[in-house]
Amino acid sequence: MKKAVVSGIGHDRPGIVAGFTQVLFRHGCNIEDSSMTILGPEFAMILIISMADTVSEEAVAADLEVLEKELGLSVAFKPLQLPAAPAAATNNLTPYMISVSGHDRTGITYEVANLLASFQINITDLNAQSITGEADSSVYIMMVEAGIPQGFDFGPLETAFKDLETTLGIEIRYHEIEPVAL
Amino acid sequence: MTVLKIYKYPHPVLRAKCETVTNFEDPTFRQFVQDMEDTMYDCTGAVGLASPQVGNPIRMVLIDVTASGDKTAKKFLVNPEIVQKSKNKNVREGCLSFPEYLANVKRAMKVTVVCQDEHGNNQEYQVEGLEAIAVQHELDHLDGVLMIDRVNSLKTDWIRRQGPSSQG
Repeated sequence: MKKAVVSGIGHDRPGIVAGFTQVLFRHGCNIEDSSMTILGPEFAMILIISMADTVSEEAVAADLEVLEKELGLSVAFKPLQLPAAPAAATNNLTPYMISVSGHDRTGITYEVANLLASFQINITDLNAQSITGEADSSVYIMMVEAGIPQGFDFGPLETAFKDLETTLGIEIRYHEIEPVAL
Repeated sequence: MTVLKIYKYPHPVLRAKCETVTNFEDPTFRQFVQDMEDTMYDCTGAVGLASPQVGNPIRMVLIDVTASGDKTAKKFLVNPEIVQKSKNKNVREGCLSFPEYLANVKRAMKVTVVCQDEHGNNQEYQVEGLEAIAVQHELDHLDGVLMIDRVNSLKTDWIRRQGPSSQG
């Protein structure tokens, strides 16, 4: 069994998912995980597929490329290396929600992501929107989900957040995402 | 009749920690009570208004979930404190300070609130349903907490408003 990650981005229209998954189905590929979204006029999808060792990855990739012309999609196909050992332990990470907001300007996402990276904090999800705020100004709201190791010292991170709040004129708040035990 | 300006996010007054009201006879306060009322009833469909939303960071909110325009249904909660809460449920609410959005948040369906009314008389209200949601939403304002702070995912819990609906 081998795996690949495939993605397609293109102007939204009916038939993109059908066209894409028809190729996968024809080659006997199984969709293990998928994420699809629309941003502005563009539709984007990313899928993890698995296939028997006998399936030609080149043939799947070639047929997906045909879609680039037919559906106007930008398609990418990448064989997935199955890790020999499990990836860095994630089970001792606690999920946190970091919300950032302020008058929209360039660089907010970069500055926040760069700061988190400098603390070796891994971003697991990021969503952002511009909304209309006071006096018709454009306000940028970003919510970042990140895994933070247990026993993490928040002091230096908080200082860095405060500095960034002043520099960029933004608000940064964070809280632990409490898992609900049912 | 004075309709006050409603401040929208991210105006700093919305983050203020509001001051306790002590002088109920103060003419400025009396006028403000009237202005709050004029302002909320001027917003069609509004079921609640908190003082900081109109730029005055004092601990007072106005609630009227009938949204009928019949002002006898109104409640001013001054220096309010929630003393009892039932279990949380997911609800969808709006806010005059985020007029274009709705948010999925968790709120208790029944709360008991102790407060004073606009004349300084002690009151205790047991409220439920929409009124309980409105009370919790407006009381959050008095501590500078906004509905965006109660949202856990922009993707699933932050919704652009499609049409008019009640807001507070």
